[in-house]
Amino acid sequence: MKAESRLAPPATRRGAGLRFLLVLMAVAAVYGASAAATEFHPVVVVRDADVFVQLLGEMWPDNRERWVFLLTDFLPRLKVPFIQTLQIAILGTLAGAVLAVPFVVLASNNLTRNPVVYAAAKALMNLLRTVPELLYASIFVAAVGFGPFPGVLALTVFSMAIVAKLTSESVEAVDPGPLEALEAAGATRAQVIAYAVVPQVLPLFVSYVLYVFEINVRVSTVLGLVGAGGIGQQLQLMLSLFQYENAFIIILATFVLVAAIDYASARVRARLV
Amino acid sequence: MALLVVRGLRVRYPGAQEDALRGVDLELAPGEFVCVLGPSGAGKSTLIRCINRLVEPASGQIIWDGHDAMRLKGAHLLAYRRQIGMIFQEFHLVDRLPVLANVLMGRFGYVSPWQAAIGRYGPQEVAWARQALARVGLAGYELRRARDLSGGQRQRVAIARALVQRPRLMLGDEPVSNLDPVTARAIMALLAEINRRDGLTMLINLHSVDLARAFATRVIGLSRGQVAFDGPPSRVDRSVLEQVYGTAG
Ligand SMILES: Nc1ncnc2c1ncn2[C@@H]1O[C@H](COP(=O)(O)OP(=O)(O)O)[C@@H](O)[C@H]1O
Ligand SMILES: [Mg+2]
Repeated sequence: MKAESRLAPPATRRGAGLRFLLVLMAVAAVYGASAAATEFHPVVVVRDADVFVQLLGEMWPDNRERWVFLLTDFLPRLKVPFIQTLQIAILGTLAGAVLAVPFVVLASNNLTRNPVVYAAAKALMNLLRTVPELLYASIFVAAVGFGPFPGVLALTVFSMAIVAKLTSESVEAVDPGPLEALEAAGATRAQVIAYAVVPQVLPLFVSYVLYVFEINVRVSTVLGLVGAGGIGQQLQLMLSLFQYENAFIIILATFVLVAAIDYASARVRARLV
Repeated sequence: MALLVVRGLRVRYPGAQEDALRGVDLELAPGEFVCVLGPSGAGKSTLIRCINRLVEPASGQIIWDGHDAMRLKGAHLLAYRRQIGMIFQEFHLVDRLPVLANVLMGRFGYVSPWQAAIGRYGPQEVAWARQALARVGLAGYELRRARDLSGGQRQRVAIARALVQRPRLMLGDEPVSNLDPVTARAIMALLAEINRRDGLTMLINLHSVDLARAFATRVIGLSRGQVAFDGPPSRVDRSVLEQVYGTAG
């Protein structure tokens, strides 16, 4: 027994080494196949590097007057589309969070005892979550036309699904003790939820909403590419007019905005949980 | 007249191979202090959860104050439950909330849903909650968070929460199993004092034979879902314990 256990580790390590090699080969094979299918060649990246450098050169404003013009004249004109981008993100997040609440109740097995209703709600949230936001946006643009409205709709559906899924998982993990105690005292279902469940999950819910807001700010900057409003529509316009300097300023400002919101939101979330 | 009559109670949990309760008969007279003993898995928790209808029995009768409690539904079921207080091994408080908020939850069976929804209690409810806290020795702890209290103090909060229900029966599911021996004895003494002074009937599951002997007016021994002993604590001797806990115990 003792000799066996002394022999065992090298054997497993050999096994692990072989497994690692196999996984590595599998990953390489998948990468190769994908690269072939998408006609992506690392060689091309190196060969056409000068094209990228040239594009970067065209994006970079080359004299002081351009910089002054871009920052004092062009940048302020981006205020409205940028605010619209934030508004899309805020509205989509808030509407999604509110709509998520009933689904949180339905998709938590300790609040919804009917297995059919529970399974249906869970499945719906999982299904809605698998569709990418930009796909939603394209669908809603097709349905209601160009502009910020389809963007808000897209983010609403997506936010609702994520917030409902994450929150219902937290609800299912709450301490069941207080629920039982209140039920035993003759509390109604609504009272049990309001007093035994909400206090336990509210900080988590808020943190999930903030997390989804971070995602939504990111997404709302590119919603314009499919015609769903916001700063992305300006970026799209500048690129199609070959106004690369202007596009560069938009990208730079987007980067600053997203980073600032990520930073602030992460700080708040760290305090919540 | 008996406060509670249980007849032929059978429980089978979904997916279980055998019954958790196999025909339990039991009568409680007002003012009794009954302790239920039995090895773990005997069905002690199941029995008291059937009494306040947290667990649905497969068959059997529960007669409360002369009325059939098995037929109760909806608002009537809630009104039945609020007459029965319950305390637990793990206290089951909402840890994030203050002590007073936890105690006021004992009034949920009485306030209208919209009152509770907006968190409004009348001055009378708050006064009762404060009185109950004083009664369990926690005057001045109203605004402390439940999670900052010791185990014994939390169980006292849970008792206060049950008392504001103005219950006619108190159920306890091993309420002192999580406490050190000195604190456990103090909590049992508090329950005994409430039993004597208010005449509140007690049905308390215990795993300590000594505590049952010290505080009960009557002991029920449960063994594998059946009543194996029912009598005064003075009659709980070695042979009774062997019957209840099996020869290993
Ligand atoms: N929720 C449940 N689902 C399935 N079986 C259960 C459940 N609760 C208890 N049981 C079973 O019922 C029997 C009685 O359990 P319980 O009433 O908790 O006993 P005790 O409180 O005396 O330890 C045990 O065999 C236990 O495994
Ligand atoms: Mg038990």
